[in-house]
Order: sequence, then structure tokens, then C-alpha cells
Amino acid sequence: MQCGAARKHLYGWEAPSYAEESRLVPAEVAEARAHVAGCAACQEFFAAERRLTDFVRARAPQEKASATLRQRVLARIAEARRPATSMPYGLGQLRRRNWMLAMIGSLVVSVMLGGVWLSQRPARITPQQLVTILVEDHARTSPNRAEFTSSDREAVQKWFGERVDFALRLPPSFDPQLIGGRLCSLKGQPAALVFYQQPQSRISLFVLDGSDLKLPEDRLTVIDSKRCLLDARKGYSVVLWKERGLLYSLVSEAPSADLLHLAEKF
Amino acid sequence: MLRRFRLIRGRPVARQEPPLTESVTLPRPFEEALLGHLDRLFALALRLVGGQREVAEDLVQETCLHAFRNYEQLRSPANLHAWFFRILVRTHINAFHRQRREPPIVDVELSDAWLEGASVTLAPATPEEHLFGQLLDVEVQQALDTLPVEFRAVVWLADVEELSYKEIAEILQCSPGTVASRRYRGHHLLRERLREYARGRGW
Repeated sequence: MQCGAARKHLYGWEAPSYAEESRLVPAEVAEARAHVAGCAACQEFFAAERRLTDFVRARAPQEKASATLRQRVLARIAEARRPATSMPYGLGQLRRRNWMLAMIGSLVVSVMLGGVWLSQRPARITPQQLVTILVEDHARTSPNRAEFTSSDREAVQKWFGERVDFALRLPPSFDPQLIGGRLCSLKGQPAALVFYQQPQSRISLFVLDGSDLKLPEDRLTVIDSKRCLLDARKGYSVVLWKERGLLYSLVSEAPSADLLHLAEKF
Repeated sequence: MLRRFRLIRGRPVARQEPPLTESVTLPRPFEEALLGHLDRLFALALRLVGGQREVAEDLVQETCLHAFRNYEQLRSPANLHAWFFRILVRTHINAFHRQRREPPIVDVELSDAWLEGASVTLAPATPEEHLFGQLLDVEVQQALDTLPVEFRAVVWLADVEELSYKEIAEILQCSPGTVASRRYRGHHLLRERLREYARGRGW
């Protein structure tokens, strides 16, 4: 056997499964090995290959997925899970089994109802609906689900600054203790959720872009320069106000008056 | 109705972030399996896209979505890493590979003639390999990243991930013989690139 043939056989033989599946017969492997055992050039060939493999392995960049990438991936998967779990069962099944049919059906319905839809667009989400969402989120999201934990106001602002499209500003003098924060979703829209704790209650501060939300003028309570909406659901108090295009909301078991007092600090 | 409640303006299309949800930190079986492989997926993605981190992250993200949608089709959980890699490579080929400017390589089986002549350059190479060891990490990385992507993938999967030719063949949808050929040719080209860096330093 020549050097080239022996190297060819054994180059593939280095991966046993390849040899098992290929037509390489053991006799040829044995012959190739016998050749290499007596051939210094072939021994050097395989030694050089091993050295290069070791070199690549040793010098391979040690790259790790960033925390941001992990979060992005999990968020996309959570988003992908949502249609199957939140849609009515029948529609969910239809989408899984025949999404094309569902799309065609949707298109037909859209064309038929398009004129009506355009002239009678659904109202924007109302502050009342938003209050319900905020209360539910506050109730199920405790501070131990914080993605970033710190009592340092600057550190929390910086953390959010890298993750949301707006500049989060927290009040410098605030009696409740800052715990940390996390990103949350309010019906698919990202928001900053900041956790505070005081002796008898915890407080959730939600901050999001509120340019599309209109607060009812006739229900606002004016405190200093802030015009706040007060509400209460399921035993939780809610204070909403807008400032520089952002919507702020404090939600807590504490009385509304306490939350109003805290809102003044912003 | 909720569609009109657009509180956050979208980011630029090329780097659009998905909306984050309240379930981000809740572990689920698929997510747990995925997170255990995310570093390896990202490392392979980085090599496939030539070290461009943002592109690699987009590739991994798309891969994870494809994997999630096909998770029920996974037959052998023991080969989960290879399954993830296969989806990554396919996603890369489908979404990114078409845009590349370099022509695809022509696959050929290992040739006796190549291997016969290999001893001419390889036998006295040990001093040269010592020089390779003195190259900077970034130079080694660039040498690897400038290999044709088909060779780069095989070299990475065989040398770094230590997968068998059979596993790599399944991932890349080619024959084990092609894997062996690409690995040898990849090694050959990598040596040439490393020599160029060494020469550039006056060694």
C-alpha cells in the first residue's frame, strides 16, 4: 500500500463510525496501519494532523452567549408560545394544523369587513384596562423575580438604560427601599418594572412609553404639577401619571394617598 | 384593539428586539435544554459567520425559534447537541449563506495524490508549529474565520467540539467522506493562513 492510500484510509478511520458505515474493510485498515507503522513520513503526517487539532482546540476562542442573547432568545420563545396558549382552543388547533387555511380565511374576513373596520376602529386601550393589567402584573410578580437586584438608584437606572428605549429616572429621595427591577410585558409591550419595599407593603413602579394613552381629564387628581389618575382593584391601589411622554404607575397594597405622596417625589 | 396600544417604538429592523415578556425567567423543559447548549451554539454561530457577534446572535436567535417549533420531532434527546447544531447550520444556509459573496467550494473526496504529496511540506514542520504557537489569539481566530465556511464548520465541529465524522455528516447533510475531505483541506488551508501571519511578523 502506498502512503497516499494508507493516509486516506486512516484519515477516515480516526472516526470509528465512519469506518463502520463506509465500505472500508478491516483488512484495508489493518494494511494501512501496517504501512504507517513502518513509514516515518506517514507517522509524521498523522502526528502533524494531531498537533494542528490540539492547536486549534487550545487556541479556539472561548466565546459564551451573552446575558442579553439569553434574554432575547427566551423572550422570542415566550412570544412564540403565546399564540398557542392564549388563543381559543379551536383557532389554536386550526393554526397548528392548517395555518394557510386560517390565513386565507382571515384575509377573506378582512376584505369583507374592511370598510366597517376602517370607519369604526376599536378604541385604544383604556386607562381602566391598563389598570387591570398593572394590578395583575403587580400581584403575580414579586421582587424575588427581579432580573437585576440593587438598592443603588444609579445602578438600576443604568441597567434599564441598556434595555429599554427611554431614559428611566428614579427619584433620589424615596422612602421605600429600592430592591431592583426587571423587564416586563404589558400585553406585548415592554416596560420597566421597578421593585420597592416598605415595612407593610411592596410597591411596583411601572414605566413605559405612554404617548398613545390618554388619561381622562375629568378624573385626574392634581398634585403639584402632576395630574394623577387614582384607581383601585382587588385590594391594590394604583396611581397613574404622565411625564415627558412616559407613563408612570405605582401599584401597591398601600393606600392611594400614600402612593400619591410618593408620586410627588418623581 | 390592543394593536393600537403601541407604547414602545420599534427598533431598527436589522436589530429589532422582541418584546420581552413576564415569562422570561420561567424555566420550561425546552428552555432548559436550550440554555444548556447556548454557549456552544453561539460559538459555532460565531465561526460560521466569521466572528461577527451581532450576526451570530441573530443566527442563534433564529435557530432557537426553529428548534422550538420542531422540538416535538426530536427523536433522540441524547443527540440534542447535534440536533441543535444541525438546525443552526441549516438556518445559516437558508437565511445567511445565500448572501455571501464567496463562491461555494467544490466537494471532492480525499485523494491519494494529495495525501501522498503532503509529506513534502509536513515532515519538517515542527519548528513552524512552534511559531504558530506564538501568534496572537486574534490572528489565529482570523486565520480560522477566513477559511471557506464549509471547511471552517468541519474543523470547528471535529477539532473543537470533537464530534465524530458521522455526527458532522448528519449536521452538514453530507457524507462522512466529504467531512474527512473538508477537514483535511481545512487543515491544509489553515496552515497556509497561519504561515502568512507568521511571515507578516517577519518570522
